[in-house]
Amino acid sequence: MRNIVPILLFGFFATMSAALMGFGAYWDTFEHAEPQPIAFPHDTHAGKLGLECTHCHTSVEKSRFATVPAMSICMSCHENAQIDSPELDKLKEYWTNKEPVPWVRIHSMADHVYFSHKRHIKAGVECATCHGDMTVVKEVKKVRTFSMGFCVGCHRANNAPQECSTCHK
Amino acid sequence: MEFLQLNLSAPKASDVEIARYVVILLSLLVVPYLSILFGTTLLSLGLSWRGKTEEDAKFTRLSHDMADRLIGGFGVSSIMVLLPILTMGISFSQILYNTDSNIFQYFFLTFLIAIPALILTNMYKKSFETRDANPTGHYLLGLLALGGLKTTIWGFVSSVTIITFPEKWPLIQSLIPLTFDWNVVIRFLHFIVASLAITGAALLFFFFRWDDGLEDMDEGYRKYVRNFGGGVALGFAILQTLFYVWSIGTVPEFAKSMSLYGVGVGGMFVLFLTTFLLYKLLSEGNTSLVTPIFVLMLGFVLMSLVDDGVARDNALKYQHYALDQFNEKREAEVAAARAEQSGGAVLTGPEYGKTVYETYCIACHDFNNKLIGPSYMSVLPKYEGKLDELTEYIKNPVRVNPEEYPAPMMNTGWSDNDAKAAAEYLLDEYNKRK
Amino acid sequence: MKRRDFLKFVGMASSASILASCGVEKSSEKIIPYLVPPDVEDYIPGEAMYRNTVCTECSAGCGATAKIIEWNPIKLDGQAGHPLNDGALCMRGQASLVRLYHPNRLSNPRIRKGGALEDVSWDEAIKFVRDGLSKANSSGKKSVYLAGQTTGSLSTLLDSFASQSGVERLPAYEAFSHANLRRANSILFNINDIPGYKIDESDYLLSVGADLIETFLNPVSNSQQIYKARKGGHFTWVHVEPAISLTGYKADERKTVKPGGESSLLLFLLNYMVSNGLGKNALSSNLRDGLPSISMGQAASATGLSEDDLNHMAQAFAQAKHPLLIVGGSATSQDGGLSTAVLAGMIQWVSGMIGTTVDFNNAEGMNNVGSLLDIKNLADRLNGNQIGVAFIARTNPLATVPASMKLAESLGNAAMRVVMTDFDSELTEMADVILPLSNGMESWGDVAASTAVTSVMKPVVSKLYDTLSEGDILMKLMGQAEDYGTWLQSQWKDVLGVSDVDALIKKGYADTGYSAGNITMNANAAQSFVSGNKLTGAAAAGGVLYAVPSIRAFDGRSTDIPLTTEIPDPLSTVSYGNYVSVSEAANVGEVNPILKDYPVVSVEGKGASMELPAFVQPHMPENVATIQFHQLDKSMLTMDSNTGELITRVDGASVNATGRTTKLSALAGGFDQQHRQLIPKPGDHHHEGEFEIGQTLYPEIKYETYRWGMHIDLESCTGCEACVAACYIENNIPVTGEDQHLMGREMSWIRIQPYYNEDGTMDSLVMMCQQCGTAPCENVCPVYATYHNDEGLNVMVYNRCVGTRYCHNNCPYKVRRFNYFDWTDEGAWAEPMTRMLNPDVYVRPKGVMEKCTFCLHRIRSGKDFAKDENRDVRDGEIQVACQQACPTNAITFGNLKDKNSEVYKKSQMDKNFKVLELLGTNPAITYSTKANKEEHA
Repeated sequence: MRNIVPILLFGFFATMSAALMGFGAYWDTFEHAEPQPIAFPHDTHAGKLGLECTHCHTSVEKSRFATVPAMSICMSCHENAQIDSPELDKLKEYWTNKEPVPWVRIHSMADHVYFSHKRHIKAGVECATCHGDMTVVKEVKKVRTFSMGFCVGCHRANNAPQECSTCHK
Repeated sequence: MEFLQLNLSAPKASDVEIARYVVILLSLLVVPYLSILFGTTLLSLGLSWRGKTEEDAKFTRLSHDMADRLIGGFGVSSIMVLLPILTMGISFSQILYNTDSNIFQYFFLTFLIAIPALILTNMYKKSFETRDANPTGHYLLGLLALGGLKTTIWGFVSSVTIITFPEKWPLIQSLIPLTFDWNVVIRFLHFIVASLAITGAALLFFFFRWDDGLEDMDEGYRKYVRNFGGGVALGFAILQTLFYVWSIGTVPEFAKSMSLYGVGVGGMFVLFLTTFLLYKLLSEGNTSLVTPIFVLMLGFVLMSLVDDGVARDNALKYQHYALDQFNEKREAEVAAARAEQSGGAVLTGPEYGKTVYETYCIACHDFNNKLIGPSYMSVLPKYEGKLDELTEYIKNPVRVNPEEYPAPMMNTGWSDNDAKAAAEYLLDEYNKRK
Repeated sequence: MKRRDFLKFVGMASSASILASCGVEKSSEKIIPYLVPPDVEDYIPGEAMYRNTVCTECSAGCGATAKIIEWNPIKLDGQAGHPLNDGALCMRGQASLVRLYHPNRLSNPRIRKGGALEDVSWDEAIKFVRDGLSKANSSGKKSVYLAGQTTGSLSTLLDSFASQSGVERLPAYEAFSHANLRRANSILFNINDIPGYKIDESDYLLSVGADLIETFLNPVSNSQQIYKARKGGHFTWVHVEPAISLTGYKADERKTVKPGGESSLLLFLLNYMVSNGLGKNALSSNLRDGLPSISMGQAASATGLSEDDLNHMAQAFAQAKHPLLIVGGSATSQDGGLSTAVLAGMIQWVSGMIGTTVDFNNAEGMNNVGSLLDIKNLADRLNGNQIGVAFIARTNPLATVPASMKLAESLGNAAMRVVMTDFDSELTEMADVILPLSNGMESWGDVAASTAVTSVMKPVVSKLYDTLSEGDILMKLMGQAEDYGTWLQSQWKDVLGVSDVDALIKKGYADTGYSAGNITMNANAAQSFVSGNKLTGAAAAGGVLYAVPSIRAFDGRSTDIPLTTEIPDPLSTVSYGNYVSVSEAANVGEVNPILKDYPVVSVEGKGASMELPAFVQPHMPENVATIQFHQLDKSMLTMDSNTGELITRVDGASVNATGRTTKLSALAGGFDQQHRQLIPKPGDHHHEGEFEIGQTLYPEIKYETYRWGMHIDLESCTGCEACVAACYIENNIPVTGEDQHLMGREMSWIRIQPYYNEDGTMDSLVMMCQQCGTAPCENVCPVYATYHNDEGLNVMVYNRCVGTRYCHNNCPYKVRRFNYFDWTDEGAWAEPMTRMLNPDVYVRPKGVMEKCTFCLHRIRSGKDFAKDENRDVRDGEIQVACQQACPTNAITFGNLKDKNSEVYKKSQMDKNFKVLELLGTNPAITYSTKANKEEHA
């Protein structure tokens, strides 16, 4: 009977570390985004080159969706830009065989959520509030959890409508 | 607190790098010491109360010995607690430079609360002499000390936790709503339970090993101290694991990474060894294990702090980028300014203009054919002989005909000197090729 | 610790962690951008675009507008301003969107090789057919082309194909070909067509047998015109029929006539007008003398109507300034139907309707439609092995032709059978070549809405499968390189004289300027008919069974769409399962509507017998029974040997109980109001505020700018259920199937609940969530998944719902629906039906309660649009789906706080009522009915 306690202790800590690894596995599988097919540097485009967000995300002021830019917008510059980098070769390759770049979705809302970019832009919300200051970011990453708490907190702070039917489809 | 923010010079990248490690080391000072203070006050108060009710000298003696050996003087406490909290505040505000987190305000408030707490703890320590004369004063002091320490811990924990939740910065303006945030509550409970575990281990260490242990301990009392210390340490160490796993589990999404969980599992392993040794100590009673237990316990505290550090870095990764960019821009200005002041060879003239052309303009422009931008040969005739107009245009370009050239020319944000040099080079080159 | 223990522990710890981290493979979502953004001017990602098209569910040719989001049409509605259906579609039209996305649609051409059908390419199929044609021509066999009613340019193309490839174009086959009506019109006015009936210009409508609301010619335009006439003020509508139909109930007066008595009624009316010298055109003298006379008594006994009914009807008809007589349906598709049609034509001529309310300029365009005689002739030629390639397009005669013709066997004798359709049927089982047809929305085309108006259509969605439109198939068969679209546009330029095709498509229709000229009755043709034929048929002895075309399936073609079977019949509320409607007098046995046990009866007629559950239809005349046409045993059908009309009246039919019972999914628990005064009788109506509002747990709600409310005018409502189909499609409501309906688990958010009153009338109550002010369902929700928002809506937060179903239990209106299954897994949204889902509405998973939310997503986008122009929402700017679908504008929706809004004015009419107002639920929907109007007016 005497050496049962170490086994119990070990069992307890083994389950605890298994739980931790479980959190890790869950994060790695569902929340940890895959690397993008092309490592598009936002800081160069939005930062150094000073491009406006709406230059590429064209429909952010007109529709609920900001939309990832069409390939023709990328090619309008990169068709004959001189910079040589492996990422641009990948882009040219996608463009030549007329295949759109399958970007990995980073920011996504649940199905039952109605979120309109247009409404937020018209209400004067900066892109950086939710997406962070893109002029400094190399790789797009979630900087906000987009949990209900985050949204409702902001709505309460700026007395935006807090009615359930505002966001629940 | 804004005055500090303003006067604080923008941290260089290297400063930020150092600040991140300094913070972990400082918290390694604060966390164990504050835990031991809180644990000892709590346990000794409990024991002395028990001693009073059950008339058993053993309890009062242990509570008295505990207070004596484990609670350092005000000087020691202020070095171990007050100073680190203040420095942590400053280094954090350097890390979170120009964010709206006003983090220094929280640390400063914790610092202010810590001062009375430490004084009260010391007064409680001294109150043991007059314990028989006026017991109520003794217990009152104990409770006040306990309250003070608890508030300090709560302040410290909420200030550290809020850093990992950047999305909450704009919403939380003062310490009060912060302390009742759900995540802060979990980490506060974890801190309290951990402090009792460390106090148990410290008790054993300081009673049996520190300057070769307490002298006049008879066998019964020695056994009681060993069981009491070991029991508290073992029980709370196990309880602490639950809170530890819970707090790692509730880290926000963007603060997670594989290393966070890796360090967590490492911590589990260290804690397992500690509890295993504690069990050996309790069952076989050989007090030689006391030192490894205390070292392992401190080791676990260090690992959980490193874990917090990892979570913080993940959450602030984007903030670090921002600082790097900010610094680059500032360094460019400083270099330019220094070049001007020192009167050194301020790079001007067409040769420098050529380097500027080769690093930036060449990406979209060429002299003869149209790339993304128009060819210079077609544009420059307008600017022949008008150098400052061209410089002006380069500094803040305006879209001439967007249909033919969809991509806008970016405002490069150059200094006048660079723009002028580039303009000179372009005009020279144009005249040559004309 | 010993080294061995240490190693054991380390091994255990690391294995546990590795085990935990082998998770599922990564499945992150991808965003696929455009290569080049589409340069469509009104395209905004995620927002709706609207394109005009034509509904092709039947051959009426209603103009439709498809709402397209991300290039998928997700809703079909009537095209506003179209001369035929002005913004409304019938229930089948609304449901026809499902036909585009249905997984069972035929997807590629197939040829039968050695008994089994194999997928082939189009070229191979076309070559196979052309070889068949040449082989048939060389062996002296005639190839024939049998299609459904074909109008517009397709008909011209079909003629040129026929002449070019020597294929004989047979008269078109329609199950309800109205052969008697057309024969009568060709005898009297030598136009082999059916005129357009201008109900909105008439002040007295007498309809005999024609089921105007269900399926007669164009039910949508009929209902719209009836609504406009009623709104005009003085309009009375009397409907005379031998059995019970929805049209009968919705008329102002309903008269029951003995089966076969219609001709006597018309003869009496004609005699009455002629003898009193009424009407505008006198009959020629010898015609007048040749007319057999009929006394009041004879007419009364032949028709079963009382004498003063006859008198009253004759006087009202004669005194009306613009009378209109419409005869059809059960009146003409019976033996002696031709004489009824001729008498009707003569009455129309005498009372001067021709050219005014009976308008041959806007005729139906059915002149190239044949009758059963042509099918008989085809069957004989087939039996004589004279037919080479038999093309059958857009019709399935096997399903609707009387069994006595044995068309299936004779079709076997054709050298090759080429079937052009979009769904499998018994016809495709015996086909040698199956050429799948594109859906109406995938193809170019034009359809004659009437001879004067042609609706035009252009593809609004890229083709889902490797299908072609019939026009393209004909072009390929004629070996033309050009595709049907380009040929059609050039055709429009010459025939319709329209140069700008885009403007034409935007308009949606073109006026053909057809005029039938000045029409006079051919007196001596009438004379020879009157003298040669016995005008009044003998009343049927014994029981009569009527096979009536169903509002849900027309002649059975719409049963391909599961939604039309899921939506219950407006009279019997039966959704799945065949049934026969019998009268109480037939006492077929005990009915238990709650357990859905219905007595089984055996129906014998014309030598065939069927065993079916019986629905006891209140007010059904004695020994008369009705059955949905597509559920009748085809051997009970016969043909009028003279005109080829399909006789749908089964004489000598007997209905006798078998003593057994079976399950029948009739969704209504019962049909009588049990003194609850849901629809108050005139007079004992209660006024606003008479009942105090009930208590609720939640604080009193103050509405700032909006208080959404609705008004439903039960008098204009015809019970056609277009709103139910529109609601299903707009809100992604799943089609669940028979076993769920048998358990009473229907999913529709609106239901048309019929209540039969003793005085022979019926009220159909349109019931959906009343958005109660003090809702009984809100207090009982444990998770606050349903609450009352500050705009007067009872909002359902679907993802909070945990499925206790207490709210359904607490709702007195029983309008909440529960998702017992995750209908996406159950296949309700099998690929490609997911493309039909409305992205603005959440698809509710298993275990979630759902209900009408007053189209919250439309309110939200309306407010969003208004906020863009920073103003409040204007009245009528937000249209909910049922309001938009209703052909008679019975449903009005709007902001009750806006004093000059349409809905506020209508809700203030003092003869309004609210359902179950006494419970204190303070509902947001006010109703008004005809009964109230009369007492009020």
